[in-house]
Amino acid sequence: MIDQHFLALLVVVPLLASPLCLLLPNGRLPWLLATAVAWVVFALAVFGVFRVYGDGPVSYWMGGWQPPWGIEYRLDALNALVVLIVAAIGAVVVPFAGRSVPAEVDGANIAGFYAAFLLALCGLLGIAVTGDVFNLFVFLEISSLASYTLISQGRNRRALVSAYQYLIFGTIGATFLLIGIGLLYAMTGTLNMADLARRLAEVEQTRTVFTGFAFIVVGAAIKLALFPLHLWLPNAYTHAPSVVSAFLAATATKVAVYVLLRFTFTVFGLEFSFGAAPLSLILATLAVAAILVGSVSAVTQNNVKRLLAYSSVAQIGYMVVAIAMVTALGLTAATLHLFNHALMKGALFLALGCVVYRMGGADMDSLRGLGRKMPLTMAAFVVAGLSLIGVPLTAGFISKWYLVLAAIELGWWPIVAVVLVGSLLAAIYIWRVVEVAYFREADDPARSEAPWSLLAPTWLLALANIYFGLDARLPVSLAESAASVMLGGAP
Amino acid sequence: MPDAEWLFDGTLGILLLVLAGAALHARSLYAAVVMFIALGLMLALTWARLGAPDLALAEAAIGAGVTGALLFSTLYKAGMDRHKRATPNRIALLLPGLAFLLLLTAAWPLPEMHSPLPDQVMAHLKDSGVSHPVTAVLLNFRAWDTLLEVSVVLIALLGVRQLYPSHGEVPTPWPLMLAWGRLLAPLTVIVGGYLLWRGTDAPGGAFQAGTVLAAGGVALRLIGVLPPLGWHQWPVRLLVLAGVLVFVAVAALTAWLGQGWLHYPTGSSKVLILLIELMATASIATTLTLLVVGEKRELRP
Repeated sequence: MIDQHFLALLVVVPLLASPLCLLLPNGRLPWLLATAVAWVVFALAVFGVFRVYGDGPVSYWMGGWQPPWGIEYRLDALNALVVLIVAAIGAVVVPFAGRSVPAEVDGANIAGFYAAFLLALCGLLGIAVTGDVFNLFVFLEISSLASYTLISQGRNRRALVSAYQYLIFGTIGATFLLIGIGLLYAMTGTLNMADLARRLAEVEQTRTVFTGFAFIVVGAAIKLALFPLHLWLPNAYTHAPSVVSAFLAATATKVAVYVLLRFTFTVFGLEFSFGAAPLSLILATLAVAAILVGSVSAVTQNNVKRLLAYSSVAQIGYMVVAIAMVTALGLTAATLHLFNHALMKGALFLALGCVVYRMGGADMDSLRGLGRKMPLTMAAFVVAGLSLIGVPLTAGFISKWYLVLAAIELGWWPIVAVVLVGSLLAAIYIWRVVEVAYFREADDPARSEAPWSLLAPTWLLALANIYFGLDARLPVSLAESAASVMLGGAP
Repeated sequence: MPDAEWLFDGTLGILLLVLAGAALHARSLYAAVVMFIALGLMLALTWARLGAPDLALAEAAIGAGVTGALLFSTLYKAGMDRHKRATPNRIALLLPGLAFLLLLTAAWPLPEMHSPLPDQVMAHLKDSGVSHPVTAVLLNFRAWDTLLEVSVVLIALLGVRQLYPSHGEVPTPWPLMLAWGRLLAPLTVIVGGYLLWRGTDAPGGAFQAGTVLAAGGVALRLIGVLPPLGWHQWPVRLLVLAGVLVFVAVAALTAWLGQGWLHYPTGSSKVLILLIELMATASIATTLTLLVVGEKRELRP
């Protein structure tokens, strides 16, 4: 049964658990259910990765109806990697929630919180595994609506405004995607990705297809927060509950990057997307702007959560500039950074979650002297921060290394310079936090380390940054197969 | 008479644009909502003219009806006239204008294209257990999308509940409302039931039927015939969740005992589809009632 249905189960298990959560009383039970579900999903994702690497792409027909009029689920090397990232981050983050959510979310809303969390998980996984563009839109709706609900749960009243801003931006993005999908359907009469790729070849030199392409790219760019469409991101990540910031920062934008990759490489095809239209140049320009503007804004922030949020804008820039190269090495760098950035941002936001749990806020001021007050938390922050800068022996170094190699291969020297400047700026903003935490005195220097239930998930991700920095064979081989899937054309 | 048709369609198109503009630029929020509801009704007419009665029904019930009711209840909570309208930013207007022009060039003229899907759907209609192609697509071929959409309605309630947990109060009903509410409610049951039952071979279905039922529920609640509905009440909670749970249960059973996820066994398709539709209708009706009247307490005895 598992072997046959694992692709459906990946999405169905969290979908089924979500209403069950609402039937449970507020308290520990919804959390236990969510934890169990997150781990089951992770196990299924690992199984899926093994299947794809063992026997090639897996296809599943929903309801047994043959595509294109039925819905197809399809797992190949590209989305297997994305599913693995989402499921792994979910499995690490939910245990963290057990302690941090009751401290940050209204007690009467706990069951609803986990119900929304499971739906967000279901939506992100669904976007990744579906092979049907309309089904993708439905999952996008589910994950976005659930994310807005989760963000609005932040303790600060400003969380409401942030969630609302995100809702407006997200809805515009989703509408653009839907318009694009509608135009594609009008031209081809099909919604299945593989079928679309086949039929688009006959009609691709029409205005309608070009417009559809433009709408889809802009829609995806809003969802992945590409500069200058990133305006929703800093507020959303700053005011959301800690677990939500960690989960969304590590997964949501990655899934949106996947959507962009899937449409440009699988559905429209390499030649159409990057041949005729000047997409490569546009993406590279915006990505460079994202790296510079994001990093400079991060340096000037006073709230560390917001600092990390701006850093995310810059990190997305690295991924997009690597995509714009459209070479095997560039795409490997992009997917590798997808994987590594999830690890570093997950660890950083979880470490900040520990800080918020003890100090009640993430302002620079509340971090004073934390190097002595919360040594383990801050050590994890520093480890993940080094990875973010791209220091050798960390995961971040590997992806920056591949990115620089890819840029040199193409002779894109300005990009090499931008990557170096971006890393320098990252060193500055991480140093600002380190300086406050280790070289300023706290008002009350008594040691108050976070509980182990928060430290364990944080350190797990921090150590993953070291582990995959020392032995990068797994992510590199996953990223290389993903890149070859993209360049190979049909899914 | 083609000329009369042209006249009708042209008027409809202009009316749509005028109503949309009026909704955006109305002096008060109240007027804007009224214009928005009118726009929804005209849009429903447009769908009907385009030969999509299913869409027309859904647009009238959900686009104009429920959305309008939700907007009005929000206005009531936020205070009708306290909010001054900000003048729209001209640069902000430029972007939608550009997007609109782009769409116009793309869709003008939209090439005639013969989609292979309708033929394939018609060819497999007899396996689907229902005779209306739209229902066959929604509840069999693409039942998975529909299941997910039912959970979207659930998230909406979840979000509203998380944000607005306090108990507001229902205003005192006016006499006309009292008189009509009692007449209206049984009618909504009949119309809703008809829409649901006819859904297997004609336009209609769970979303439309649920909305009509919800209208009756809201009316009864407002005149105080129905007791306050609360999330803490088990029947209410079960009714809200029934749609998703029964749908997933059917899907899981087909995966466990049958051939695959949502792969209905031949012969029982119609029964299963009706069961799913019935539960989805109940859930949608309860959810929408809760969304509109919230969990408010009574003022009237």
